[in-house]
Amino acid sequence: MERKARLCGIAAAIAIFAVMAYLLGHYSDFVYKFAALSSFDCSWGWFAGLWDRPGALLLWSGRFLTQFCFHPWVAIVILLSIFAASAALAAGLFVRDRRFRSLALLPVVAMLLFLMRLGFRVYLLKSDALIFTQPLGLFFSLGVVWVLSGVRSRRGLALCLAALLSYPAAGFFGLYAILLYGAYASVRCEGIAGVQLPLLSLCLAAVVPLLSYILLFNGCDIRNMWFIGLPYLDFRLASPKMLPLGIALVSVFALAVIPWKEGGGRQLWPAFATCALVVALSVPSLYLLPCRDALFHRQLKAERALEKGDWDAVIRCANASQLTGEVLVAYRNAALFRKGQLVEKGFLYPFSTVPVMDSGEELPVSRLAGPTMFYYSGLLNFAARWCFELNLGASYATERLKYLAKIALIADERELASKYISALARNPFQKAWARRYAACLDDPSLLQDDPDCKAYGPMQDFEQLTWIPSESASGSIPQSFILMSDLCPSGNYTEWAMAMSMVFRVDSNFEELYANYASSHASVPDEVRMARLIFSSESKDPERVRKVREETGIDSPLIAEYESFMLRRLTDPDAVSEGNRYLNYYYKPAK
Amino acid sequence: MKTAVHLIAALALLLSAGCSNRVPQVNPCGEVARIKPDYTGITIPCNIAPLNFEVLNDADVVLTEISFPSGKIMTVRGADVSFPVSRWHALLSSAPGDVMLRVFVRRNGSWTALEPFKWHVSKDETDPYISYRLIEPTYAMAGDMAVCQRSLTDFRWKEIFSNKLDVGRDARQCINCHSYQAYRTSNMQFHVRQKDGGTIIIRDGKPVKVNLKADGLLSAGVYPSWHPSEPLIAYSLNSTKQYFFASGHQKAEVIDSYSDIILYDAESNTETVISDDKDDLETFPYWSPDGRSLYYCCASTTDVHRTAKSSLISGDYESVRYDILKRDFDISSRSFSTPDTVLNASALGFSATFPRQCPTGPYLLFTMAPFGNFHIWHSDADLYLKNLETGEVRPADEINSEAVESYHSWSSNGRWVVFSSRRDDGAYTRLYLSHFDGEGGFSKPFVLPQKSPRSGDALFKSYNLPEFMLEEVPYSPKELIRTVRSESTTAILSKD
Repeated sequence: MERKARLCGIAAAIAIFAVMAYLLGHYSDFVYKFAALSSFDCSWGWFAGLWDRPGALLLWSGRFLTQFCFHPWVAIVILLSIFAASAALAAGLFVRDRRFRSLALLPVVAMLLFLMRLGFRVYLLKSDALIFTQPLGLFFSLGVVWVLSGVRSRRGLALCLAALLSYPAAGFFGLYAILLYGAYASVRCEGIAGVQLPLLSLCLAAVVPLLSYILLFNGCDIRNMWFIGLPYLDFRLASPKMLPLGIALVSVFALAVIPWKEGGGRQLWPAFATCALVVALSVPSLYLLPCRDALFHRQLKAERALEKGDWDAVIRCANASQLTGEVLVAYRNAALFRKGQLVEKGFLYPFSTVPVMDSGEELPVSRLAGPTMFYYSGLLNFAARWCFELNLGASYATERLKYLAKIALIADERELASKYISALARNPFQKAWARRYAACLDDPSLLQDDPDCKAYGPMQDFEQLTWIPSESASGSIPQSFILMSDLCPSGNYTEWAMAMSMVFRVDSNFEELYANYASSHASVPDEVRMARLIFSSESKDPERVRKVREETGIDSPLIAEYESFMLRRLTDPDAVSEGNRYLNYYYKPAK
Repeated sequence: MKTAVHLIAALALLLSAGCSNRVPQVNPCGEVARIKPDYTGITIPCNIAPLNFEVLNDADVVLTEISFPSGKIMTVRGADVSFPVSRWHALLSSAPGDVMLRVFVRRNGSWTALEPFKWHVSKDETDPYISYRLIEPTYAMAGDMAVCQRSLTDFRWKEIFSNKLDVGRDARQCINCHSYQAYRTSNMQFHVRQKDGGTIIIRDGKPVKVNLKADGLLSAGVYPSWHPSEPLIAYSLNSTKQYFFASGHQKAEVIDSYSDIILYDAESNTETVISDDKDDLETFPYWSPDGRSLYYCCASTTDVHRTAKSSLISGDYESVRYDILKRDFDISSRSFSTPDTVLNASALGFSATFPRQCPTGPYLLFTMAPFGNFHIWHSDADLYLKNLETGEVRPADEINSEAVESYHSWSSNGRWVVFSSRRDDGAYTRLYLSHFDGEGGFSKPFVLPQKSPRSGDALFKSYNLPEFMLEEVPYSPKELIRTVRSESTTAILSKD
């Protein structure tokens, strides 16, 4: 009977873990993002620096394991192993009736759901490495209970020692471990110990953070001392985002306080029913509840494609649906720029975007993707600025350190680049990247072969400054380039300024911009010449019209095309929305 | 057994010989010792913290011999040269003079002596503490930041106040502009912006939170200066905006569209306007050491400059240049004279900021760059010195670099200056100290000593607003947070 119950539990576990593995694998770009947005440094100084608040060991371990997310399948295996170990520990420690042990799978399912429901919030997390800190925290707590459960004498002293050690190491999860042991003791310990130990655990959970604040961590906010280790800076503890995490923690607690009957009864059906219930709850939840925001997953995919330089994939991600976001539009333009098609094709794709929403709140685009958007658009100072902004209150994420290093290299700020590259070199997972760019410090000519440097290096020669006010960074890429069109930029900025002037039909300084563009390009695309023709005609300035027509060539097919189009437009206004020429775009009626 | 003992003894002898700190007898080969930080040829205070450094020359083994003025010699093995604090002070303070350093490197089994260098130990002590703010180089949103104090005689440091003490999901606090009265910490102030905003003024050890934005004033107090003896603080009021640039080496610009100067009386909680000319931008007030004059910076401006957007696009902001003015102050009547021009920088095509008079001599140290007032963003900003008796103005070339030098502070004995510089990497500001000879000359500056010579590389924060202090700030962040969270009292604008 026991064997059958166990097999049934194992089958349920396999089914659930298979779904979990599939889910994480399917969203591997999401797993990868955790690594990109986290940091790790193997130096002693960095480790020591984490001990200014409770939970340092957990944070360090979480950040270390998060680095495996650069190889998502390795991270998935580690994560699922932690989940499996946690479920096994919870089952073994708390669920004395073997027939109900599959219930221990529910907390880890809830924990995974918490992670998978983060959606766009993953970009804004101040608690980086969340993908591992929370599962590790749960595992740590269960481990502490397991160790304490083996203590047969002086259990009170052992509990005090555990509280004093586990709180600095694991923060909230240290306290959770103590409370969990209290719950365990209330059921498992006989006599007065069954009362004393739970009471002691409650007292310790209340007092240890206070003592730690007074003696050890006086740089912390006392009101947060009980929650450090949870993502309390990112979500209200009672927010819907925190609900799955809350369920995970409470359900483990519930397993601990239920007075299971030792060994269980003889009937087998409760085992089958429990397994069926657990699977029935878990599998649909894992299918339905993770963040399914297509915009979010397209953005993640586009970011990995950008990193690989797969411009076609970026454009595909951006154009996969009529519904697109500001970030994807910026990525698409960057990809078109890198393909040399921004001027000719920039206007073909939709520019209208939907705001990024999460739990009814619009999320600031620059904070979601400021560094990436600005970096790939060649606005490197803005990218650096947003790297700093996002590092504030969070960690120096690997992704941002790489941008900062490359920006410094492109700007020939070698000492600065060296600082960032050295930091990356202290991350064992980034040594190869650091080695590659450290070589450029010694031999800057190597940088000429770097595609990013080739594309953005010439843009940095633009001496005249442009600006964006600090408070309105989102959506400022087109705005910046349009402003630049007034300043008549040179180099690759001309490409951008021309494309954005065409897309947004801005004629404030088009003639000068055109002259600059023409002088820096071997041939001017027909669409640009057509734009000039249109802008001049629409300006109603006879002198300008005459000059442009003369320079275009009175007999030019372009002029014939323009005039025939305008004639058709008079008689057949619908004609303007057909076709994929700039003429069609310019005269397309606004919706 | 006997053979084994002999073998072990021989091995131990060999090993100890290999680890010997005995200096090899070789002459310098002409190769320069490359050390980080660059501590070669500097003058140091006799009470400074150990100057730990790292030898960068290629070597299998490094041996450094340090000969102190007292005649004592210390030998350190390894590329990281660090000194125990107590031993360092015992050796250093015994007698001023020169410390001679000889670095030996072993390559492929043979020893080479690098060119020796020396530290001149000055008998002029530095103030024992320094305070500064640690911030990111570029930001608009407030993140983790702290005002810290650091002992200059060793490596102890702690936070005076940090916004980590009040952490929430919403916007954090910005903390800035720490300032002390006459280098003492019983009277001090700093601002807290955004959440629980106000100015924390500590007088005779009692902290209070004040809202300096009285009705009718442009803003709350911004850049402060405590009067050296009276309970008075001069503040600038600034309407400031920060802008970020898309390309080029300058990353940001901070522009005032309006600014005035006021005087706050901490005793009566009243404010009086010192200067609020509509055509002038007045900022960076600073009391002379005797408290009888108030220096400040002033630029004439137009409406074009005030419209920051058009100003930036047209480049007009580059024509805003600040002069250094001074108003005499009558302590008994608390009245100011009309302003005198101390430095007509704009006539020279420059803009001058942060006038700081030496406490013990007729010298005014200030920052100058071609335009603007936020010189930390201007790589061509340098420190200049004016002799107030002869009127001679000269760039302090001994301490300037190709990168920006900006905020600076004199020690209380007028023999040391600490200033912020971005010479290390162009982005992260570090603090440099230099000896002033009292006759207009500075020694080669050296970076604030750190326990680990590499710690500066791993620190992704800038040091901001260094100020010397004669004593530690005695209040803990926990005590100050109570005041920060308390209700503020609003200052009253006096119409006199």
